[in-house]
Amino acid sequence: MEKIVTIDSLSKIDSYTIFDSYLLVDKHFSSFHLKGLCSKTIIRYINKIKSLNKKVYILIDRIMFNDDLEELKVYLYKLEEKEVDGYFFSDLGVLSLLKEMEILDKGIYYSQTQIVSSLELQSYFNLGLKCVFASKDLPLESIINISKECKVGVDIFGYRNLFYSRRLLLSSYKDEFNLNGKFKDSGKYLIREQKRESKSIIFENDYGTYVFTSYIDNHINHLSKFDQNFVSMVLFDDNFVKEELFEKVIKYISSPKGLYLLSESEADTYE
Amino acid sequence: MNKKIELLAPAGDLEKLKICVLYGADAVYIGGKAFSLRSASNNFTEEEMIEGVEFAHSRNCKVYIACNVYPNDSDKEEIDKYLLSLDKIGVDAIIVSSLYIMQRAKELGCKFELHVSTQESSSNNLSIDFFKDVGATRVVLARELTIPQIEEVIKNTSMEIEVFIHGAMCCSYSGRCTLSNYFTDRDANKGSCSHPCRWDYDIYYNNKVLKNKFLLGSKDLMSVKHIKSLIDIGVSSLKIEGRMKSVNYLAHVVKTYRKLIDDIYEGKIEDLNEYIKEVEESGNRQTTDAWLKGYTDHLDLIYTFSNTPLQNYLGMILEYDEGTSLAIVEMKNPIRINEEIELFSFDRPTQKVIIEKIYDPKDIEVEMANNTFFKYKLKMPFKVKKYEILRKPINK
Repeated sequence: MEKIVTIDSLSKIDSYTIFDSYLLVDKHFSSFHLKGLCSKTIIRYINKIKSLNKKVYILIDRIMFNDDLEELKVYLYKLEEKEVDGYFFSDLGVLSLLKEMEILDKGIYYSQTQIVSSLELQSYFNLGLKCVFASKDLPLESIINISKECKVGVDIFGYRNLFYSRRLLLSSYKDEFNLNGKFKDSGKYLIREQKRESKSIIFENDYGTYVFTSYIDNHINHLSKFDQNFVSMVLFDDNFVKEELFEKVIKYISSPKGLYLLSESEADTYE
Repeated sequence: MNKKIELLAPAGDLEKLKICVLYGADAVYIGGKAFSLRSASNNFTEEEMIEGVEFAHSRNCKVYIACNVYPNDSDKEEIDKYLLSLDKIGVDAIIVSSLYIMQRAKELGCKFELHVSTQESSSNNLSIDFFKDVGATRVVLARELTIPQIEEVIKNTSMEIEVFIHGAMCCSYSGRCTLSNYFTDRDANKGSCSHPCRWDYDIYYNNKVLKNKFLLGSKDLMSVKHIKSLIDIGVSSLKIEGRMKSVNYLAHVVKTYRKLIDDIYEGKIEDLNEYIKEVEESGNRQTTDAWLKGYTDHLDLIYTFSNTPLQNYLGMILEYDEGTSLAIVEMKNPIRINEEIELFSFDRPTQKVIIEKIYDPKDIEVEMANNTFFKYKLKMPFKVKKYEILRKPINK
């Protein structure tokens, strides 16, 4: 079972070495990460990461239009020269592109909402993909049931994205607020449904607006169960996660089994 | 111009299917009792589907079945049964999101077409190519594309392209929102969306309230101004949203877009405002032409206030007795005798009507029909037909 962690800044390359593989967040082609790496930086640092004996995956999970895919194709050819191990995507146009380039076996389908059964998962996996990730909002029991049937990737730790819109919802209210705030790429905004207590992260970038859960999804204590079944990849996502909390995650991964457990309560809210 | 563009209308039940067909749809889309989004709609039993398909086909209208949920593992056998039953009924296509269901329909040898749902948020040619390889013949595009983007897609594919032109829109990319699941445990991708995007929110900055009543919800789409462009660029089908919408909504929206399409083909368009007035007669939500007009002010997309409910819709003719000239109408809003109202019809121009006598459900003559959802008998000055609609005159 491969433990993968998101890397959205260079400082993490040397800090997250306990993980097996790195998922580099491409700022232009991914969707909802606060930070990310520009394409040139990614290309420059792949060799360094590979020298650490890590597999390198690239996160390109944005919904794309025709001109995005033309740009992506050029970029993928450059990445292929660096022998990238795989690509996390959610747009099926990217799947067609990988197929055209004869690298479909490097594709990891990461749709986040659609893979809710082993039926669906197998349908995609049988196309020749490297892995298919289960839907993020599936309950643990469903994930375990799917993992008994077929090879699956699982989001193991991180804030779950609930909402992905092309609209720039924060910027749209700029005039109403009469503020000169920095709406884009800011991790400082929270949203609360008026009848509920909890606040969720709302984040806007050039490609849209995103809302997340108010808590971290944490299945770390079930790693051993996943290991017994067909879970081939588990993803740790530190997007918006406080540094000191993620250090506990690293400590857990580093420790021998049973000596250190990350309690559910330690996965606190973003606030 | 090539093959005439299709007008595709939604029908939540058998009566609404008949309304859509009579008022001018070239095709209707409906849902069965299973595997369809809009689970709150009545949807169709197998018997109703058979009757609906016969009714539609006898009037050269196609029927598509929304089969656009992502199934669970436990649905495996039921899916096969369902697909085979649809094939036996003779539906023209299924609208589908699940790759598993698409592949299964092909494996079972079903003769209906596969139309890819907007839930897939297809926004580029390569994703359309993917579905072509699976055996689909049509893709319903994501609503986030501009007209130039749609045109580019059409130029680079042989697949049929379907575009939404009217009705409610998700604020999120379709199929990518789980707010409903999160807040209410109702799965939006299984047809049970609780519409949390329409609730009220507060926005905080550095933990201080920045804005009370922040809104995520979207205005409804209304694209009268762009129909000619969509025809010119080669869109195959124009889709109206609303399987849960009322008969009044469907009658007005379908007939208006029907007339608009026909007038465009005949070169008879004068004033688009007349069409806009008619479609807006049926709804009370703010509208926008959204992405069709281009990448513009996002504030235009956000639904910011509720209009007051319209009370123009009086009721639909359920029965008419030629001998007595009495029409049975289930009243939706009050009406008085001698009040000037209008008859809105599927096969004749709108006419003024003055009701001379009204009888309540106990056959007692009254001056006013004021109990909504009660069936009254109205004495009509001329012959009327089932499914014609009575309404108050709209402001011209």
